[in-house]
Amino acid sequence: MKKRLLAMLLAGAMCASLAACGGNSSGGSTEEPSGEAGGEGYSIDVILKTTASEYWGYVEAGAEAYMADNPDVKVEVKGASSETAYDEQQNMIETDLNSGAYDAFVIAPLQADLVKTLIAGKEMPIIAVDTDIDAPEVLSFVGTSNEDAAAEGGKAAVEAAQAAGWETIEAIAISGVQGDGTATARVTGYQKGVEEAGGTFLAEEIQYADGVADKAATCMEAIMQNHPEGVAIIVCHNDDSAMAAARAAKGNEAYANTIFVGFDGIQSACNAILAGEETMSVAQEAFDMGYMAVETAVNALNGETPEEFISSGASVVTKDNAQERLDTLKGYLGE
Amino acid sequence: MTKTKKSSNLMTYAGTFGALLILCIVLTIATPNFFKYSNLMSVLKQTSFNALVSTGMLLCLITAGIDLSVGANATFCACLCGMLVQKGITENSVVLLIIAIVGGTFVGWVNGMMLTRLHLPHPFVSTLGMKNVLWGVALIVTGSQMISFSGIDGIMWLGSATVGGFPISFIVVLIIYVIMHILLTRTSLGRSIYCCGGNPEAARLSGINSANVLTFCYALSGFMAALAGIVSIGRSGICNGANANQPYDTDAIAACIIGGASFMGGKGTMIGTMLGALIIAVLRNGFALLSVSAAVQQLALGLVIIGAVLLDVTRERMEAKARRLATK
Repeated sequence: MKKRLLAMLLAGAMCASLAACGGNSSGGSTEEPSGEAGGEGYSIDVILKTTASEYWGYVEAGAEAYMADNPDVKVEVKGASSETAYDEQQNMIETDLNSGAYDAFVIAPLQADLVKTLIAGKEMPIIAVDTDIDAPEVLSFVGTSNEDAAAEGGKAAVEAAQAAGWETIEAIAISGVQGDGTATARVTGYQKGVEEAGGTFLAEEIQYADGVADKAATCMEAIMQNHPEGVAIIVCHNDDSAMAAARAAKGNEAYANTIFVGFDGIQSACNAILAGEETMSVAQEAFDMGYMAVETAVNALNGETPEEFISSGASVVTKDNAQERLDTLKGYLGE
Repeated sequence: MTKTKKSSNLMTYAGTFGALLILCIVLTIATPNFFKYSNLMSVLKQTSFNALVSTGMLLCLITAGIDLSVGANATFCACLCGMLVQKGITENSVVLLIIAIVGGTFVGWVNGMMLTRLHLPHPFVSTLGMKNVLWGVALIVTGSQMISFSGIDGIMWLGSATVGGFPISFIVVLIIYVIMHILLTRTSLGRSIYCCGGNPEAARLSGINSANVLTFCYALSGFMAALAGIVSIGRSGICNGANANQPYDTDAIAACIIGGASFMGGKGTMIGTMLGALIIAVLRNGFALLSVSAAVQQLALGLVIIGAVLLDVTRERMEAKARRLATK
């Protein structure tokens, strides 16, 4: 009896998954002729780094909002299962480029150089979003450079540290995955911002926490060990790291006024900033990024030549504007 | 016979303990900040998570199995709590704690049932599948968002509270290790676990219900993963489903293997595993203090694992040779 029930369950699951696959592929093939036939009814393929994170959820929401505003354009959003699933994204891009089902592509590359090889010689409009792809096939890059955004954060952090009464302003970075383009760009930006504003960036003491909270806590414990006197600014790869670092330093008097800078400005970061657990967060306008990237792709299909770089803007979230941002973000996800 | 066995056991620890000691001495010389009370306490805090998941991993390794879902299970349990907080269902720490532990243990039990009742070939496959399932579920229940536990101090107590600087999480780890050590060495269940791994056919013939023993091991592994998940909440104050793909499982395997466990089953002790977990934590801590690049960290950790296994294999071959000579 048990076995029979199990067999039925399994068979049911298989049927369901087969049906789902079938549905997708037939949808794709019917899309193709309509896309090529008229000027209207474009089909845009949006391949993001991942869809499994809040930040990318906003890019996705932005891209889909364009579809809601322009019902004749069909937007399909997909992404790898994590920001380190390089192979997965490679396969995805390869499959979609060769499927002939899409008129234009919006790509946020996990590894820009790899994507450059994949798109070589393709004639459909290709737009890079979030992270630039240095290739002649790419018409436009929509985003903020991580470096510029981080530099804004670095400057704001130095100002905040001065306001908090720090005399020697030193900054240490808890970076993401070593060798990752985004992680490097953010650290470079932080360094630039901190130094421009008159602080000292301890480049020798960069820690790598892979953007993961518990590793960031470990790094923070080491920093406190090396600097019992306190450090004015801790700049982090993302909000997860910043919140964990701030938590690890909780209760250490020397770090009571330390400025913890995160990156992404997601909802929980806004809450943490309001609660005084993270000091500030550098936020890229992910929703606008998604929307503008699809818009640019459609304009290109309509024969316009887009600008090479379209800035989607960045801001620094502090206690003053966190509530406002939180409400906006909730609106994007329809909560 | 028992005498030689005991002395060889001591030898196992001597090697691993020596390695840990040398590592500590080197780090003490390399950086003045290593051998300080506060830093040593940090090391213990950093050990807790891995030590907990390693407990479950060790049991599975002893039975010649493996549990690759431990890290994902820990993340899943943390996210389960996160979901309840996010959706505003409950902020009662006791309820969250119970749900995490029940959830984690259930996942472990399912792993065990897949192996023993559904007869999936090797737990490598089923627990790898489970890892992906949990990763997905962790993202789904949290809506792919990072969730903060700020203000819910009860659930964070285990991972963050200290007694005179000594982390509570490590006290719990010590208690668990003592209990597990007694279970493995002094009870019939413990002997059954070793027997199932060392010689499954002999276990069956001697009337051991290996299906139940194996299910117990995997369920316990799930329980330990849940505890680790709760510790991680306390340490970082957040949960994030995306962390489920972190190599927590390989860290746990490394701790067990450094501590003398074997993929062939039937081997491994709690003391050895603790030493293994400490070696990994001390290495990571030292690297962080010295701001060593991530590339070098990976390289060094890899070499330590290879070295530990090599040491183990060499010692075994020498023992076998000694036995052969003795019988001649």
